Amino acid sequence: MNDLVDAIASWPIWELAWTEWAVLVALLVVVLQHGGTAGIHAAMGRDGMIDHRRAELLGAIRGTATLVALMGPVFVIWAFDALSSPERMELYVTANWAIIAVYGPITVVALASFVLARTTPWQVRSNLNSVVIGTLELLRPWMAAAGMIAGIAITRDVVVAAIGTIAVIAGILVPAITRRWWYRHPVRLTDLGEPASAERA
Amino acid sequence: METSTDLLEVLDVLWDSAPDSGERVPVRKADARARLSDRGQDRAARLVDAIPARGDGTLDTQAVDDIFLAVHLELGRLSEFVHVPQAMASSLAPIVERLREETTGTIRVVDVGCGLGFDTRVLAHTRALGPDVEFVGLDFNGLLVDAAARLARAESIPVRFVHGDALDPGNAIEDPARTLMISSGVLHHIGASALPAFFARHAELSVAGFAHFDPAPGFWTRAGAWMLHSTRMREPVSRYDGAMSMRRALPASTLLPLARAGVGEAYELTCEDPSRLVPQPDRIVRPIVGRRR
Repeated sequence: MNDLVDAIASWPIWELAWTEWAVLVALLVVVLQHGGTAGIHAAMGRDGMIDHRRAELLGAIRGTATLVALMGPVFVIWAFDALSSPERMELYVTANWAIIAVYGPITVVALASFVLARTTPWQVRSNLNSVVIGTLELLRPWMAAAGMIAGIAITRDVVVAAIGTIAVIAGILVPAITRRWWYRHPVRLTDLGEPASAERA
Repeated sequence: METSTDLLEVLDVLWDSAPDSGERVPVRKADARARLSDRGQDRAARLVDAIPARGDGTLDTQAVDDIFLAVHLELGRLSEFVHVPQAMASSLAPIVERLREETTGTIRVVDVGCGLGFDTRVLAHTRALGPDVEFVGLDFNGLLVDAAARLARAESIPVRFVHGDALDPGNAIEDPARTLMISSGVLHHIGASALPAFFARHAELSVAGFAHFDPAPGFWTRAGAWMLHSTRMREPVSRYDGAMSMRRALPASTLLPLARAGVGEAYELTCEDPSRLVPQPDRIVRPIVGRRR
């Protein structure tokens, strides 16, 4: 037992400065929110309700679960490599700074648009949805790749490149898989509630 | 009214009704396919190819129902994304206000070609036009009427859905002087040749006003629609029909004379296209508004 505690205590991750921790946590949050929002987008237009928070919550859970399932193995490989020596950890810290330099501003723009879209008149909301949020959604795979390319370019390390590439591919697969999850069964009348009396005009 | 050069959306060829009864009529797969391929719409024809058919050559009813529901469910969310119900409320508010000043009683808003009635349900649920406004959704597609009614019931939304023809909505109207007609994405389905008759029916019924929303054609609308359909819609038919509807939509300069030909001088008409120079996503779907003089 003591050996295990000693081994964990020897991990170079405990030597990170608070700013490096902050970047690591921020990246984790960005990745997790990618899973959540991918799941929410996949749920859109499947329940027909005006109030679709329930479908969105289920979508977020499915998206996050898919992301964890896909990214889990990548995370384990990363941990083996990053925790193997201070030099390897330092390499990933450098990559993290490069990646957050790309993802950070995009995330800030997305969050600001999201908040603005809920506090402004419908005309502004409509424009923000289409121009900003829609565009970010369209470019999401390219932005994910751009962040990882920045990390790879600055480290010039084969293992970092391999793990980064697998991570981006896993991330890009999340929306496709969650969509398929929602669309594996067609929506039928019975899914939309009890019958109501309809008239012939 | 359809001509051999009119472009069609896939959903246009998947559903047919008996003219008198309005009952659904089975559609032969070969006929549906031919209507598209005859117009050079080969991609659309391939989408029909993917739909299963029964032994007698007619399209499988359940498969067609699945497509109709999937496409209209996605359309509802697109409508929410670009805030069509709010745009409708904004266009109708001045007419409703004038009606309140001139007459008393309940004002009825009839949504013709309502599909799943998403816009109507939002308007009714939010009471965006006030508590004295009631909503009726009308569609010729019985499946969609049934689905819309179920969805309204599931959320206890006070709106009624009826099966009927957008070109002859008389039975959904009780007091024309206090009735407004609305629609979203219906005008381009009706087509230029039938639009004067569509608008003439408003004048014959003497409804108080109307606000019919349709995409404003142009570069920015096409670009925006492509982006929205790429990111928000999953069904191949949704994506195809969404792009096609932008190509079929009519500019204000065409819509206004067609509406004028139908209503004569009985209504004040307004319809403005958004700027061609800058994108205005909130006006991708814009109305032609008529107020009875």
